[in-house]
Amino acid sequence: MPNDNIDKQCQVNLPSSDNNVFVQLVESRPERVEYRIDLVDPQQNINHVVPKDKYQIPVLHDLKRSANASRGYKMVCAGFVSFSVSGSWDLECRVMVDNNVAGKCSGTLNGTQGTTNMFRFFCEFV
Amino acid sequence: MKVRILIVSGSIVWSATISFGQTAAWNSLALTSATPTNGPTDPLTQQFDSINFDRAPGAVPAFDALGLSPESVSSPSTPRELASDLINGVDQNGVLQHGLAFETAPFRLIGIRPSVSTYRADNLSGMICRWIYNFSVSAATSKATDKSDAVQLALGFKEVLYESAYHDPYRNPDLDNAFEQEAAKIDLPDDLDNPNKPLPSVPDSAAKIWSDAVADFNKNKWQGTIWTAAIAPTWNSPSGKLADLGNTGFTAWTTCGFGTRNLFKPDVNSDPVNVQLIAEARYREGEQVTDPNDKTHVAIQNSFLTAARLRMGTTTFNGFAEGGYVHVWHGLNGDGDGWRGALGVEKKITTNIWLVLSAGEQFGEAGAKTNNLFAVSSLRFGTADNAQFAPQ
Repeated sequence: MPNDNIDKQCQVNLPSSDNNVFVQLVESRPERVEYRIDLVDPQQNINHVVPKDKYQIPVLHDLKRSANASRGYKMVCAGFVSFSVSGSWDLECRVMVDNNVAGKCSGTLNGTQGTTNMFRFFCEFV
Repeated sequence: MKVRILIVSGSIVWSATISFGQTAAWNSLALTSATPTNGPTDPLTQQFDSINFDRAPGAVPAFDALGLSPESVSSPSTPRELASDLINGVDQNGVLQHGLAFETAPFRLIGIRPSVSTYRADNLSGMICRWIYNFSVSAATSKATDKSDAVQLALGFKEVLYESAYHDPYRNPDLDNAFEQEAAKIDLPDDLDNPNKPLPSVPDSAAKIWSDAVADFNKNKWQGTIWTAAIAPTWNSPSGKLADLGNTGFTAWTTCGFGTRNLFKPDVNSDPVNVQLIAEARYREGEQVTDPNDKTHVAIQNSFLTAARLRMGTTTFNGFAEGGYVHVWHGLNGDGDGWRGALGVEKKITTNIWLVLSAGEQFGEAGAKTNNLFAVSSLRFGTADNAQFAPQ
């Protein structure tokens, strides 16, 4: 059901791999977005992995930690979208390991032209 | 030409009128409003009168082909929603329901998601990406006549062949700049990493930057370049049943619009000279036409129409030139062709008062009886102080 903001939590089962975890956002239409991605370690320390900026989706972001070393971490992707066209807009946050989608979290906004909405994906790596 | 100019001047004096509160749109004045006094059954005149320069390039083909302006249009965004619309369009007895109206982008429907960098690219792959993304399909049904069960059906297919970045909301550079300014005012603090902390709302000052920029974009949408092409086959079912649908031809057209602000002085913002050019070519095959004065006189005609309009002006003086050519095959009067041209200027005299002069002429079968030069002039009073011929 479309909401004013996208605020989703999910759990991602990471495969056993020494390769790094990547995160990729995918949108259903090319609206302007800005976001940043943090990794929160089990001690609640925040690592700013991907700085706040405008990204031309779908950019593949390297979290710079292997899947095996990322278990117990939380990944938070937060940002906003400014709609230039009204209509339904889907945003999907994909967690990728070894070029495979290990898990994803998604949401839908019923965008209105000229408005800005926030989004946040909170993924717990297990 | 000299004679013609003299006639125009004389006509203006002779036919000058003063109309109070005349603020209605005068769009396509000479081609649609100031029609020469030929019979209403003249197929060329009717074709000329069908020219609508203000039909947006974004017009939906299926609705346009049936002459509909539906109040409620469905835009299915999933295959399930599309299937639901289609199922609702036919009842359990196979009878088409009139009032069906939807438009969808099939490639988006099946989950093709554009890469922003590819969509925005100024190269062939970017153009192909935009073709795929912007291709649309529409469908509409309507009652053929009030007193029968007959139902008309149209399917429409439309492609945006070219669109300049300035005209495209996803690529408009002014919107890019506004987004940068807005983004600079929106913080994404660390406490957003706490899932128990609710998402904040966007600061009003930031949101206003974006909403103002989008409002400006809509206001200036006549600027930039867009070229579209569409085709809409039509069917008719005398019984209203799906099984009885018979093809009634098709309409195909292409429209392009170009608008620029301050053409001659791009670096100067004061007193800009705005220019807008709109051109359209349209072919209609299998159109049933009935003589309004003799209902037994019908024809299945084909027609080709091409027309263009140029508007140019400043905040105080504007002009337009329009021209159109029509060819009709197998019409009520057989085959025929003709053209119509018109010119107009308007000068702001003082606040809310404009002097408007326009003149035009129609040649060919439609004008065969008179080849009248028609001229109109008026003083326009009103609450709106905007020019009526100006591109904006």
